[in-house]
Amino acid sequence: MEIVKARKLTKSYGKKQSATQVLKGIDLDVQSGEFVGIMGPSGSGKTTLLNVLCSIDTYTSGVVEINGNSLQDLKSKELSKLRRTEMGFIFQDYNLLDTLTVKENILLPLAVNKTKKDEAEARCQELVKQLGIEGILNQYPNEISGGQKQRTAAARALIMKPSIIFGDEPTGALDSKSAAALLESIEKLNKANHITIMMVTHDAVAASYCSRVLFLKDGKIYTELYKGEHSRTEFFQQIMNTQAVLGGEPNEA
Amino acid sequence: MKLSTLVFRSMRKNIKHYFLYFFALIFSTTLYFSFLTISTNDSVTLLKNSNVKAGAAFSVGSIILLIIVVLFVFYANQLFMKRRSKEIGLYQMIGMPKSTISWMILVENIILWIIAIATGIALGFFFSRLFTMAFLKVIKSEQLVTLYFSPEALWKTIVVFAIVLVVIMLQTIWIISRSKLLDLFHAESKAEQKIKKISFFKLVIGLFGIVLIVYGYYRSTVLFKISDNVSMNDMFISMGVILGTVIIGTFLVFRYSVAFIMNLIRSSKKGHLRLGDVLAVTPIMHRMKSSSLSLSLITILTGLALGILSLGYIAYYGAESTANQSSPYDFIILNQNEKFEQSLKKEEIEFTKYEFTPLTVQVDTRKLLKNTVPKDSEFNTSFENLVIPYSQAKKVIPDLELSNNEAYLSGYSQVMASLLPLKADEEINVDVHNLQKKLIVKEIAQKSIVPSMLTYGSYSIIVPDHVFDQLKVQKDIRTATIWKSYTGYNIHPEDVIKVQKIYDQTTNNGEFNSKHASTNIFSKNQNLNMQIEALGLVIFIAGFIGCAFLLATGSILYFKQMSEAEEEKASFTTLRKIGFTEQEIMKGIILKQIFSFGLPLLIGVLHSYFAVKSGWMFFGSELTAPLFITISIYVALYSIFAVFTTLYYKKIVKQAL
Repeated sequence: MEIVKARKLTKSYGKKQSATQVLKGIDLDVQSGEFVGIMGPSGSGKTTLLNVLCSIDTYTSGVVEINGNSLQDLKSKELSKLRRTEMGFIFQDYNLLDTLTVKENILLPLAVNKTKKDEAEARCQELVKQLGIEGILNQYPNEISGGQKQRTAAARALIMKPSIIFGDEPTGALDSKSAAALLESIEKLNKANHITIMMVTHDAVAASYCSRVLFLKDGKIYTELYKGEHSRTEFFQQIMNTQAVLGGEPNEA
Repeated sequence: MKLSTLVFRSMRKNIKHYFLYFFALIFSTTLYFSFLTISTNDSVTLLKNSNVKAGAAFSVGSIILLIIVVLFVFYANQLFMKRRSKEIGLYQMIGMPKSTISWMILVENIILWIIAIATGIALGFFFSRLFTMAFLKVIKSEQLVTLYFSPEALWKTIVVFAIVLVVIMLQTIWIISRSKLLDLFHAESKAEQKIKKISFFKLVIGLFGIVLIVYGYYRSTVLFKISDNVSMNDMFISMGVILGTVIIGTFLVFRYSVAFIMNLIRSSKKGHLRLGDVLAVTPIMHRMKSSSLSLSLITILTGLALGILSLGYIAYYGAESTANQSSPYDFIILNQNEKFEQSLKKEEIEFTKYEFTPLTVQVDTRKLLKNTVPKDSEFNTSFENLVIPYSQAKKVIPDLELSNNEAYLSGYSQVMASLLPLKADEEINVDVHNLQKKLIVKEIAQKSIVPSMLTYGSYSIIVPDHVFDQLKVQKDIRTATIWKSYTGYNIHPEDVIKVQKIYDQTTNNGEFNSKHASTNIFSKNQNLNMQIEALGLVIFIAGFIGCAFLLATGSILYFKQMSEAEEEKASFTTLRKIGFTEQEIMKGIILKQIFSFGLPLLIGVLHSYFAVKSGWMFFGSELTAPLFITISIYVALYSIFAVFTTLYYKKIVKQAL
């Protein structure tokens, strides 16, 4: 089943005469249970693509459907609801609320839903166990490490059982060890619970955890790689090779 | 780039931040300048009916006004500097010396102040006419107001604001010189605290704050009870205690109780917060440490402003009944004066006439007291009272019925009722060496039938005629009675001016002489005019100062909320990204505003209520209506600031995504 479907998607910034086209007609399908990475050099439109797909940003033309809902037909209120119920988000700078404890941050998306308390509690406990952050539930974001913050964000993204998780450089602010741990947790969630994940990254190591990687160049999809039966190391090597062809430096794009 | 270019560029970029500071300055100048202009206007200062020194009242008012203005500008500058800390830090980082930065900000300030003060003076000039008209309306004077420019007010305003500017500059230089590069970048989040656990100690202090306020309130209700306050000295101590407990209590409540209660609410949810909790409860709780001082200040100022305004309005509101109390008839003639009445008849003016022959008698009224009075203030209750026979009083109070052993107290004013509560159905004792009479008091009424010039503000006693006749023949009593008779004349309202002229001519401007004393009696109309002028002046100045208080408190809250909104912008972005709508977020924001504005207002209103309630009887005769009107107007104007703040938040939330 297609969770994300984009057809002839374009996006321009600025006024008509001086408009710069960032996305130049993108066709994209993400199947349920996929773990998709988006890579590409700076300015290729990775983050714009993600923002447009997850309805945070608007697009100029084309079609975007999330789980069968066409974004164009929805009003901003309905988009908000769609984001809250169908999507989860993990951002580079965590986006946790400083005034809330870890647990309160995780349960935040339920703040206007009428979910039963014990149900939410059970879900929260299950997630924090999977993500290994049981011990810090009553601490504030400024008291925990970056890795823990990002796991908190991941737990918050998953609390509503969304159809898809969007990640914008989720490992961007983490050291390599925390990044690996986070990606392993995400990979586990993807495999065990069949959660669909779409993630922008410039880090080939991070991308090697994905089941498929899209390469963007100048607002178009340049190529895509499938992991298939390859091991992570082999997949990593393939990604590096493609990046070299693309013209970006191996580790910095 | 030259420094001046940088100054202008940064001013243009900061125009949004400047706007508030600028507006506050203009408003302060307008208020101060127009106040000074009015106070130098002859048509205002020379009140014709009374000898109240309006000029003196205005200069006291202008000093209070100035204090508020200075405090307010000080606060605004501090907040403004804090908001610009990043910018200042940036200049420092690129290697600009602190002296250059200070100089740059000083130049900015001078430009800003010159524009603001010029605008304020221009506005103040036009508004002063409006204010003068309002003032003359309040004191019911029908003079024409000319647009009047006062050079004196101009230079005073300029000098005063120049001094304030110098002080502000010193403050700015001090802030800059003290700042470290690192601090500047963190200034905005520095004040925030993370609440880990509320300790038992804080809980106790928070509760203690509430206890202090309640205790202060309690003391205020018994402040003017004679039985509790033996001497004036005790009363002053009592007032000090009330002020101290309430102010300290307010601070403790804001500092500890609020955060404690908020934490209790949030803990009870065990992590399952509603959006209201997220947007209102938790930010408030975390900010309480840094905002408790300003919130307490706002609360106290609100209480003070409301107290001043309410008392002023109570006095103004009660002007007529005060005038009635001091002269129950339109015109009063002491002893016999045929000329006045003859002139009235000659001019064919209709009148009703009430004649009285009061007696000054020692009456023991101790049994009427509701509370026991300490021994040394007993003199209060057995002093000389004016006694009036029933047959004369009945003409003024037609439904008055007295049987043989009954008496009736009239002219029992509010002040007496509060200071010396009396109860009816008790005995009073007339004991003059060979005559003893016991009478039961049937009723104690507020309505006065004797001018206060004769009773010295106390009540008079109406007794049955046979008792009066027995008293009349007592030689002691006859000697003690200074004014053997008085006559009250009531006339048609349209004749007042004509009769006043006759009265002034025939009685030598209301001057009366007896063997032992001489006194001046004013007509009811004169009394009323004097009351209205004096109290109109009071309410006008109180209104002006109240306006300044309102402006200062409202703006401080607005400034605070504005910077909080900017600090919380990142949270709004997150919330909107993860799928909360603008409307949902705004609901939480409105809750926060209700709290931020509502709590200081509520506590301030409570403070002023208890303050007014303890002493209002010295000012007027009616409590509920003027208090209610004052509070309603204040709340309505205050709410405008809350609405503006909410609109500002709305803009921020909208921009957040």
